[in-house]
Amino acid sequence: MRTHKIKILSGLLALAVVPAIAAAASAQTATVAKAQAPDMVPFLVNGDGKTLYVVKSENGKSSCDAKCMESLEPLLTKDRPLGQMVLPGLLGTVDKNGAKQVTYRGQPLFTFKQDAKAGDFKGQGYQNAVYVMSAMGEAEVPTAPVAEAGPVTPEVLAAGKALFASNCAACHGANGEGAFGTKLQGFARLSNGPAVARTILAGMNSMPGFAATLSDEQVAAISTFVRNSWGNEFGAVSAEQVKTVR
Amino acid sequence: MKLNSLITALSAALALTAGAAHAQVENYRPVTDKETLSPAPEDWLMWRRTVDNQAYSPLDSINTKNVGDLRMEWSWNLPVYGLQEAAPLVRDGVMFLGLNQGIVQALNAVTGELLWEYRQKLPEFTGGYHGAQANRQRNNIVLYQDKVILTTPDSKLVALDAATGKMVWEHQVLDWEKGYSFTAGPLAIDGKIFTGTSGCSIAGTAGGCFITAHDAATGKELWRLNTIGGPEVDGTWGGLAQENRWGGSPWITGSYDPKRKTLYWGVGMPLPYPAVLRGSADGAALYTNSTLAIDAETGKVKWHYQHLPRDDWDLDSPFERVLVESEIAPTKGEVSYMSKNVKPGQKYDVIVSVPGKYGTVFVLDRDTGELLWARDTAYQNVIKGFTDEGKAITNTELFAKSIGETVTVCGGRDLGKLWMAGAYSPLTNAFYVPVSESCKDLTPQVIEVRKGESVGAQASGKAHFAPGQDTTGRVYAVDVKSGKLLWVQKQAPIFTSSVMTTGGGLVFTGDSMREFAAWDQKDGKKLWDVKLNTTIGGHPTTYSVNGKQYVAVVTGANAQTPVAASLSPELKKVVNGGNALFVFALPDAKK
Repeated sequence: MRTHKIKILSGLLALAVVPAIAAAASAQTATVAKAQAPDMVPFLVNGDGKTLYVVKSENGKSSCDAKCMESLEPLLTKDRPLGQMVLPGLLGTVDKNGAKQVTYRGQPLFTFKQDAKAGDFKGQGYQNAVYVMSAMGEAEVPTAPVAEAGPVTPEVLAAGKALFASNCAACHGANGEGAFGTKLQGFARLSNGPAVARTILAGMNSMPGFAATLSDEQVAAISTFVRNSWGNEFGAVSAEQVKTVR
Repeated sequence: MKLNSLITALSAALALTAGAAHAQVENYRPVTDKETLSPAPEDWLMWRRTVDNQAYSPLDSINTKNVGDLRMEWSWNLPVYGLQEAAPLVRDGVMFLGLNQGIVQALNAVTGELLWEYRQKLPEFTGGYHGAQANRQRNNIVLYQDKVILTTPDSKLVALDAATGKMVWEHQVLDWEKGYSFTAGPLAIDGKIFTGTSGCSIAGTAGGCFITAHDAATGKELWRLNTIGGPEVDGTWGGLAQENRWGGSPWITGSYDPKRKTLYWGVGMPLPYPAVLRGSADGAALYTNSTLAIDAETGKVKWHYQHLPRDDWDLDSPFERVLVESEIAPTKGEVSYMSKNVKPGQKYDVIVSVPGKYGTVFVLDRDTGELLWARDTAYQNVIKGFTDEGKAITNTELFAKSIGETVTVCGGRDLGKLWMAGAYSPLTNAFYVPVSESCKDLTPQVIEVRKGESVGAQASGKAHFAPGQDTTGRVYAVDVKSGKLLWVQKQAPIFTSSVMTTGGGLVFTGDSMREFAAWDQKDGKKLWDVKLNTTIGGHPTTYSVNGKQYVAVVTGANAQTPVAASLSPELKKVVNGGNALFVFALPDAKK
């Protein structure tokens, strides 16, 4: 008998809750996850793997007009959005006609209606107003392509070696063997040249940044040196490439 | 004679080969629970010698009167370099060394002769982080029953036969590929082994960091306690889902109270370090930066005390919890907090600790977790004060309000209290604790969260001397009863080894400029010192064989040295590497 009663009760509860869910425009707890794809910086997707976009604004005004906005679907959430491989503090919400739209680093997120599946980027650059949201929280506005860095030269390696000895070796070891700092011999992440340069410029955790003290050429030389020493063979990084991440 | 009967010594001509046992310890006497709780004065069975983490040896042959005659007895080159955080253990004249990369050696403690060596087979670490963890294996072994219990950088618990160095069993505690590791060794008592996880800063560890209990006979897990998830703490993370929380590494071995059957274990900081990127709003983020009193049978938290709620600066709070019985009568003007409930003249079972990098001493009641008194050592500006009930008040004015905003925090980030543990002496009722004193520029930094990497998300900039100071190395001698400082040693070289106290009235310390020294516990007068090959490291220990007392210390790099050297360039004049072990004794009496 007791079981029967509970069943009825829960049935009533469910009925009472249904209208409320409908009113919230079918929003569930949204997920924002980091994703990767060829020829794209690490970017954000929703729980279905669909690319997330931001609308670029100029002088505080959206550059996406009403017609442009029709192509976008705000990413709504029932409550606090859940992150996957993103910094949770970058996630927030903003009021969207009584519902909650997910923001990342303060910028409202959208999917693009014509994107049918994970990996579609049909909204990228739409109306020069809609761009993929990067994992760093920046609209991925295409820039002029940067030339390949070219071959590793002995001159750059020598310059990088000297700079490494005076700036890096105290923590990473004279031969990149690591101690206080990360071991750089065979360190797989050095394969990402721009990421290496960005880390040297901005620092990471206990590692200080060198943006104030090292030029693009010097950062390029150190990046090239660590990527091509002690058995590493990841190729050169150019000063021009460093400039794009400074 | 006793030693000879216990050890089958083979010729030193034996070639070293990985994993090979060269000789075996004959008639190894298993360590009983009784001995774990009350070890023979001759032995040093775990990192801080006893389960109360006091690091006090009653041996007194070497004492304030004769320590000036101390001289080297033997030395030993260690087979692996990296940071030096090891603790030489001794049982019946056999020394056991738990070293970086999961290498364990057994040596004749009188001659240094190698008896056996064990090398844990490790996966190839390519991500950078685990390689670094493997090179900072701290006190990674404990002697219990007939085994050496080892923790490994790839998150395993391993039991070796103490007599032969052969593996008896191994147990994978957590998935190292998510980022979990061990740097600190286990605690073993009452048929159980307890571990504290390291590495919960790493992306893949989101949602859980653990203290675990295992059956000492098999390694089988008995319970696990999540330090950042569960109904008791879920409401303290500002609405963050469990899978969006990081940190809470209990990465220093806890202490044990046999009367209460309670573990006292410290828990580290939350991540990302700055709240603006962590997303925990004004939540305290439990159990980060807390002392946990844990029922050893069930793993249930009896009480917690949070030393630094809402940490915004990676100031951690896992460091050694030392169990002491003392009268408590804090002196006004000396302490920054004193409980109104303290009854003068009454003896208390307390926990004495400098739990976090910022150097504040906390004395807690072991039954209730009540704060009895607190005081600063190094200059700090992160704890603003305490409520009437003794809750710590974090200085939220020092929070970075936005990404890219730099704050200068005097709290020892990268150069403060670290794993180098303090020691207690019952002779003086004082706690002797090494701390580096400094300030640091910190800036919240947006990062791409990547597999195998930390989610700290804070740039650590320039270090500064604390206001009015021109050095960073400190040892504070703190009277447990009154909170007064008996003495303070200040110097430019940072103290890079743990501290040890002995029944001979001595305090042993080691620094980054190669000095290993003995001080008088009473007044801090330096009575003996020696310069060794490189930075002094690890945990000094003392033991006795055939009535002769020895002092052992290891050398090798310390994680804080580069930051200290950025302030005091003369500290660069030491060559890292060359990790070694040195053993000292008094000259034998002339026959």
